[in-house]
Amino acid sequence: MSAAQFREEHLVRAAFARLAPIAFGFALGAVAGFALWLATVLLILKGAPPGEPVGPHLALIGQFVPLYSVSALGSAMGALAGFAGGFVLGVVVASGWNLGHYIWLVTLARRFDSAAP
Amino acid sequence: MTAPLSVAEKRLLDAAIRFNRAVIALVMGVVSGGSLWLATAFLLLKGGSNAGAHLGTLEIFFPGYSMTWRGAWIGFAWGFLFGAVSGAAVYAAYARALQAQLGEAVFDPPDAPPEAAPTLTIAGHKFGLAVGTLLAVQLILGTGWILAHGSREGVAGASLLAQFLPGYSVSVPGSLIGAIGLFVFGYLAARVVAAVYNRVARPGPSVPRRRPLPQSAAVRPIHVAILGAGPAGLATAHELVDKGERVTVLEQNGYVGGLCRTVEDGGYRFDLGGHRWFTKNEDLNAWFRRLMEGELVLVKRTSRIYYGGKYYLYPVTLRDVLRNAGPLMLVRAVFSFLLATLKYGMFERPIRNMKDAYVAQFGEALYELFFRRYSEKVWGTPCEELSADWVGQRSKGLSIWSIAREALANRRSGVRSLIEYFMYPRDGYMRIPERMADAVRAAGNKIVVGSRVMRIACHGPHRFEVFFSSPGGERSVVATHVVSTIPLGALAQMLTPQAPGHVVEAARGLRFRDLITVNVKLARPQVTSDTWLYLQDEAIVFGRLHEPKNWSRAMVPDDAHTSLVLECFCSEGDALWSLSDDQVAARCVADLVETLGFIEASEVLGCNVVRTRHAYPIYDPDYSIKIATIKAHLDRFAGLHVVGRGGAFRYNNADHSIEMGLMLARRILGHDVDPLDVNSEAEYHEEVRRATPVRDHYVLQPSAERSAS
Repeated sequence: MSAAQFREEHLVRAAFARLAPIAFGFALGAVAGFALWLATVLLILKGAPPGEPVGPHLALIGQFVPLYSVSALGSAMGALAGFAGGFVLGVVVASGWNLGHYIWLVTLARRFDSAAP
Repeated sequence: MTAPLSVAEKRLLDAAIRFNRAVIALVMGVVSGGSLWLATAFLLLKGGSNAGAHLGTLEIFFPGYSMTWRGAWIGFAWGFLFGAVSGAAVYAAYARALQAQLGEAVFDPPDAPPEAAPTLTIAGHKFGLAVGTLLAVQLILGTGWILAHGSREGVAGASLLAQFLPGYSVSVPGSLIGAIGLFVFGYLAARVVAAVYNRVARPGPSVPRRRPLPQSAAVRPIHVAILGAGPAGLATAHELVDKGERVTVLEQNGYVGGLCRTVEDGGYRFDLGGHRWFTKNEDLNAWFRRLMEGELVLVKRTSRIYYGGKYYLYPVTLRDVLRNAGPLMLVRAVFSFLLATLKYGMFERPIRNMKDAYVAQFGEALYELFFRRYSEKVWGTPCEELSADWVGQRSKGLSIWSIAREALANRRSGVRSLIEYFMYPRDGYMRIPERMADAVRAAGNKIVVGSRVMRIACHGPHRFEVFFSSPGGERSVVATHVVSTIPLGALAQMLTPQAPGHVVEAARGLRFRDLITVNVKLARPQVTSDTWLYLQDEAIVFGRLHEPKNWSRAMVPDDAHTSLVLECFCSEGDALWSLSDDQVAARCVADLVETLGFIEASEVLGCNVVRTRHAYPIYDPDYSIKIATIKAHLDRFAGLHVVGRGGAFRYNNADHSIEMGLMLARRILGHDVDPLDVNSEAEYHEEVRRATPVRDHYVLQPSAERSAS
């Protein structure tokens, strides 16, 4: 292998670096959980005119997340649910990224295997 | 540290970025579309008078979307498009950061196992810029869209963003102010994601994969007895002689070349099986070009499988499967391939035998269609009773990253892969061993043809005496090293001191497949356009054929004539082997004329039949244990080496055997290389890296000199 090929090969390896699914899930989960918690707390602090509910539109998340509401307890649930949702999203995206590369590389290797006599 | 990328590297990087952009677009599209579909389906199933009233306002952006099942699928399509474009945009923006990162990677390659992809480190600032910019642009465009097309509900819904984005309103200036806030939010969120991710994903120390090589102390002066004048033995001899060492080559046959023999009869030349020169090792290619200067032709490879009256390109293409086997088979092939990839790749289901190995690579449907019959014809044994090691051996020792590099580099340039062309000596493959033999003889060394090795006596480390029969009677040669290319099992039984019983038993257990090659001389200009044609049908006596004229015009007497070389796989003593040469030739011609309809009987001018013993080592389930047993015994003899297809009991191509031979010579000379790494799992890269800046592993310093320096 020539020096140029050697460099190029490392370049391809680096460009095809894999995403760590758990780490990516953890990172997205942490940010999503915090964001939902923060949004809920902001609305609680802002409050609402007397007789009107606080944050009725954000409260719609309760349709997907049991026990979520724009309240102190709800903000904690929101943080948990945001983390869970972000974590799943991160794992799926990272795994999809890795799987895309994996399938392409495996396909290439098989094509190469077939091509050899 | 970073290094500037060359033009070629930048092109390669662009290709990799384009590919990655497509991957992330697909992934984000599926995630985004899937999420919207799931949310819609969830609300539909939940029901209720007002369910999905707010989600339904997405119709403003996604025409056709509604809180119905049809709307869910339309939402999936829009969500896919939105996610794909967003993902691609973020990656395209982020890719600007890659150049610096990759410059670093190229300058200082990570010390990781060569087959493993490194773990991505996210550049927080660039990622933040990309995400923040995307969100800001989306807010501006979204607000503009609402202003142009939106309803009152749309405006009311969008206005809610003002609760989180100070200054935002559904207006042009409001959207610009909101975009600044959203950019800051996106930037910070992405930076946090990157920081958390990089911290959690920080890679641990890598584990060296390659076993340490024992240091080989050079013995001086040396005289090497080489048993067998095939490609491996002659390559060893050639390299040793080139470095000024003395060798004696003993060859049982009356000619050099071994399995790379080319037979000539009346102007027709044919190889025993048709070998091509193919290696992705550029150092070896350079060596080969020097050796064969003035004699090489470049041949375009066209291999096909003939089955059921139809031709399939080999390597198999989905287009061929669709055209010849129908859409149902194509669907089966794709699904079984994906299933196999998941089972064997992602969930690491064990691969126990050749069938498993093929299924893991191609899926059950393609295995049944293309590989089972042919493999069982070649080996004479069900695939379940053969080791998996044979399958995929071609890509072992070759980094997947090399293949990926070539695929990316060639993607847009239109340059066809080197796999699709091969080099071939104009007058037949035997010219390679003949050129090596010429050089060995020219340096004053002997190649004794017609000499059969009887026994090898070892009188101590690097003190061998090889006894052989020749037309002049039994003779012997004394040597400091013995390089054996004769079948491994036979070698173990001809050594003295004699091998213990269990070694002899292992040696006797190693089996080879034999080969009958039939050359059919024809009075017609051409039969096929292929370089190889594989014939799966069990009723046809031969398994593979090639037309030497398609490889080189010099292989036939003139343009009006051609020939077909047919390979009949068999074992000594079986029904096929027991036929006379005339009977084998007659059956082959009958298959060509009657079964296949390739030629007319009147066109046949005659046939040559050549029988070859020990053509293919059979990888039965226990072969590796037998080899290990024998090797453990042979390792006691300092100065004894095995190499080549039969010698190492490894299914080498000729280029593998030559490379093994060259590396063995280097090892004998004291270099820190292992010839058995060729055509095995080991990588050259580590060797190259250790020797940096010397990249060519054929010009490594001897280990002793390196230690001294």
